[in-house]
Amino acid sequence: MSFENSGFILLMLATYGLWLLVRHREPQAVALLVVASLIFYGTNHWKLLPILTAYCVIDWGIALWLMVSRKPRGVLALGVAFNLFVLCFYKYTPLVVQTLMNSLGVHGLENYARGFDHWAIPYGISFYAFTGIAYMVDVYRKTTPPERSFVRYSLSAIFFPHLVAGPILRASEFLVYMHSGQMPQRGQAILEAFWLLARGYFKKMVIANRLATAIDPFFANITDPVTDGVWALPYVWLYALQIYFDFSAYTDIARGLGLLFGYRWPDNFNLPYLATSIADFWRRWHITLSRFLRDYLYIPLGGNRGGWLRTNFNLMITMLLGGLWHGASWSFLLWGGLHGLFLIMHKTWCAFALRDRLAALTGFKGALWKGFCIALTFHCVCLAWCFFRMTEFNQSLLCVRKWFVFDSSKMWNHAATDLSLWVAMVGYGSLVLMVALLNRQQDAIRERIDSLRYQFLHGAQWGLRAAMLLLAVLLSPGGQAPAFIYFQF
Amino acid sequence: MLPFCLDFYAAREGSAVALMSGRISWKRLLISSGRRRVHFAFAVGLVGLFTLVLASGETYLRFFPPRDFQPYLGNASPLEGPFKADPNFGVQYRSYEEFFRDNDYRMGHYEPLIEDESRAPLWAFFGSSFVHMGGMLGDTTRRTITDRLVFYLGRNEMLPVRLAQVKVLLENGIRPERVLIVLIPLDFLPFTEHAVDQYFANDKGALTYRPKQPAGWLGSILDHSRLALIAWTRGNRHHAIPSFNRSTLGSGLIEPVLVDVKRIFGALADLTKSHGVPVTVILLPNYEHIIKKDRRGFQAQLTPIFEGFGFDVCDPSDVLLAVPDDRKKELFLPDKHFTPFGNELLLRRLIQHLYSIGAYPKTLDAEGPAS
Repeated sequence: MSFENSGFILLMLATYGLWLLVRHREPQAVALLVVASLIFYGTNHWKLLPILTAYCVIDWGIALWLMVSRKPRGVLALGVAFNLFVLCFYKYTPLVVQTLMNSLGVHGLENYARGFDHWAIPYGISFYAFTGIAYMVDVYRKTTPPERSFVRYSLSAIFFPHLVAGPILRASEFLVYMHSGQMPQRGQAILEAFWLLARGYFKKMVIANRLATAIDPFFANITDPVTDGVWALPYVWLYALQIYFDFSAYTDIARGLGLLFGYRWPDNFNLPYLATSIADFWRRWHITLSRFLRDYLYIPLGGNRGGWLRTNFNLMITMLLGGLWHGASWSFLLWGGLHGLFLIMHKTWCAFALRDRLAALTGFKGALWKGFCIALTFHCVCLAWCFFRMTEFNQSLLCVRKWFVFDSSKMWNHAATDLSLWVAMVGYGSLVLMVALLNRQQDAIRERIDSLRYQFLHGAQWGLRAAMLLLAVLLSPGGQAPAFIYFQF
Repeated sequence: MLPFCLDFYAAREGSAVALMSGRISWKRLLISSGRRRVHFAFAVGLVGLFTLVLASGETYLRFFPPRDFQPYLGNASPLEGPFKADPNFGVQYRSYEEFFRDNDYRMGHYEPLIEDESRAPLWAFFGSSFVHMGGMLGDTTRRTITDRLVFYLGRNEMLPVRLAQVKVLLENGIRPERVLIVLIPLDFLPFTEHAVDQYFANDKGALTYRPKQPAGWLGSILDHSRLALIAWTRGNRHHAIPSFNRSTLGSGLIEPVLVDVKRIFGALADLTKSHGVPVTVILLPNYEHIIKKDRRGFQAQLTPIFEGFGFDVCDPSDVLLAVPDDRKKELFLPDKHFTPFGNELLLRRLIQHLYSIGAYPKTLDAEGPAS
């Protein structure tokens, strides 16, 4: 079940309707949301529901044990080991077995290996495993108290809007609002919630799905002669946009749903492709993962407290593991490694005085330098996306090769240059920019206009949301919609 | 929306009757109270921007129609292609040159062979990805049967277009020893979406479809608003059979689909007879037939129809069903295409069949290829 399925819409409407009825009675409200979350998860894979439950039981129990144990470090290690073991078992067993078979030259086990064709990775396991680890570490560090109620903790861990693809929440952002007497009893900022929902659904159903339809055949046939001479760079640009629109759409919808139930969660994105460096990119892209990796991996490894070598080693390890977190493929490891390498190069560049002089440029020269930095960062990210998108190393290299080797007569004549796609993106971008500018001026506008005009604007805002939701359905490509990209992680 | 708001307030104030009887004017009802004016402003804002955004959507569809919507725009579609109308297949290639351009990658390889008078006999395969994709039946046959030239175009087309390809090739000198048409249940799904009568080659030669739409005011809206038309297509109301359940394809085709099947294959029979080319139709079972042992209604239904047209029919299900249950999964890739093992079994069965009707001089022995 995904956010754009009719089944989910029905589940959501039923859950929200019932929640409005029982929201003043906390036990019933908690039970309702837990059941809805289990149904949401179970419809994807009922057989894997016990794993989700096991995570809840173990993480909740470990957190309580941490409070009474004389050896909390050992208890924490046990909890983290459980989370990582189950995560690794489901995600990496096929990769490890197949790599071992290939490298040891083991033959005759092909039938055994084919069993992995039907290997099911529990949806969102990477996300709820990390949420659990963050919770246990926070309890260990005493930055958050453990939740005594199993059901309330479970709800914080498996609440359906954030369950499958985040955002990865800290206890202080969500669990604290699960404590008895602190659960929200009404939605927050309903207009904002509907804006996030409308924007999210439009981004996913119209833009990301249309981008997928345009570019998937190219990547699927990258080794086929039909793509000979085709310029790969526009496809990689579009893939960069697709993954952004797809993932940020998921986050928008999750945050919108959270607001409807009264919870405000942090955003995962802040215009990442306008980053002026790779370090800046990671402050803007998948923000909740970046800070998880920083707080629970990079800093415990020693962060930048060691020398140049140690700092860069920590950085590389963090990015490699961050890459591997995305999936069981060497290409993800390589993707993380590339980002690690870019970060090291950036760190090294920052030590040069020339960098400071260029950064201090103002006016036209400053804008030119900033534009160059944005373009360079974007293309570094695009280079890494080639390894993220393809599962085979050779395919990734071929894709990069096709950035430079192509038939100039086919340069602007293929699916990636479909004008309707670009117009849709520019149109959406203009609309969002306009809304953002209006929102920024909201208080000033409110002061300047009378209540009648204000109501007109209020109505217009609702009209915009309703029309965007309708257009999301109408302008989406027909046929089987691709799932959210981050559902596989 | 506006009348609804007015009704709502009128009813709430108990003045609906008064409004309808004309004792209170609409204007007075609206401006008599500040609160009503505020609500009215809200409604105007809501309806206004809602309409404005939808108008933007309509403009977008008019000037930049997305690719998946273009096939429903007929002559207004920017799509171009090599087709013209055909009474039997729905569409036909405008000329051999256009067909060649459309398939230049493969035809560039084949043409010298086709023109060579002394070449080996040629088997012309027409089918879906089960023939064309790397490692599938086309590849397997070419690799194994070296005393025949194996022709296939390497791209997936809808069934009527495949038959149009047979026509244009036969009329332009391909001279195959045999035409082999490979069919799976899914090949017939497009007929549930667009009947052959809905096919429309536009004036730029593209294959487009006349959406099935109602007469009257709704049809008129669909004719004039692209937003309405896209809503109609998103709801699959434009389909020949709007609520068709695709999972039933394997157990047999429904009557409206059979009408189209008889029409296009009847035309193919006339065509191939006039050129003296025998046709073998291979009715491939699908994953469900083999793994779930679903009833093979598809084969049972189509075999007599095709035999009635004078085609030779090969149903290779028996050899796949004979594979022990614990090895059946080895027949299929995760995407449900056949594995090399599955394709090898299919080819053996096909060759055995051709041998049994005297269309090929030998069978494939268990050890290796025929030649």
